[in-house]
Amino acid sequence: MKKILILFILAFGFMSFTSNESVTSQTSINEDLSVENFDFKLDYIKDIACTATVTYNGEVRETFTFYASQSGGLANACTRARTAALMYILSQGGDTTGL
Amino acid sequence: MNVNNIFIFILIFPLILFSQIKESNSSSELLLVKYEHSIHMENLPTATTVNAFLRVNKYGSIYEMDFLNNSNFQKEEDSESVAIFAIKPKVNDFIYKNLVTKDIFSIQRIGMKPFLVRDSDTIFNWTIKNEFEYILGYKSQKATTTHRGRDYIAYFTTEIEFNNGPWKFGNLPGLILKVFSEDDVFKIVANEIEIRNTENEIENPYIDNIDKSISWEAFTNAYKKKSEELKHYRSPDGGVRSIPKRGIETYIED
Repeated sequence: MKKILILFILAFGFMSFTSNESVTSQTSINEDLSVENFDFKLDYIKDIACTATVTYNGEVRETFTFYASQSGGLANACTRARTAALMYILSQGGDTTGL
Repeated sequence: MNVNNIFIFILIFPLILFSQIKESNSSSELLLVKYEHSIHMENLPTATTVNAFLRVNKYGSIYEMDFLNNSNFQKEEDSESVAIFAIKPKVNDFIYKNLVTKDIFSIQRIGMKPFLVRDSDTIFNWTIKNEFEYILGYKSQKATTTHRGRDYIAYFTTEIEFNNGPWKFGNLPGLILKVFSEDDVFKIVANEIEIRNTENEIENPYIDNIDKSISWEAFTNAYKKKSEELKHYRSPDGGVRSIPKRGIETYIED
């Protein structure tokens, strides 16, 4: 009985020493910081040009602008801006499904 | 089990338990602070607000911005002329501070290309004011600074014995519980504080790439070079590309 009591005390002590919760982030940030997707904004400037803006985590990363005069109209400029932004997202490893 | 054994057990058990608690207290304390981290860039229609978590011990700290679980990522507008899509990154952003060397490591981007940038906490030169407010029950003192193009107001407390803060912020004689830019672009506010006794270490998440880290000056020089290159870029169908002069921090001075 004494042995059981001693074993219990030793085991409890061991568990207490090893039961600290792990709170250290083991996340490794490597080169592949590509993203699944991006925020994407399309805007136009007074019938002159259309700009698609790509954002990431709340900040603007890159913009793509097409002028109506060079694109055969504002609608075409917006289509081209949108396409350019989507191509950029794809080139960065993003997923454009649904965009 | 006789009465003697029970008596011995009752005596020894609390001794073992309390001796371990005392040792844990003397080893190291870990501070955990949860913040609301909000960015509303001037040229975007909505703010991005996420939870962020600061973990601090005597030697280092990690500030994790939980963009992965950003519930604000929603499809907000989608028409022929305007479209905003919601979208998640694959990893959270981290800022690591080595409290011994005073180095700050963060990921900065040119377009989407990531660079590991090394700053020092001396980038913040605060003016401490004789104004106070209570945040989460802690008496907090006001301080102001200008950092890379924005004016900031912070409130820090000396009632918690950690000199640190969220994001890159630091170099104040206490823990920063609230900090915001005066233009309302960037705001971080603490909403939970916990101190734990633990033997776990805070590891630099960028340790494998630390030899690739560059200074802020080297990063902004590369940023300017890319910006200049894009000024001369024209796509075959006449399109132009650009990167902004600043995000939260200014990359290119006017």
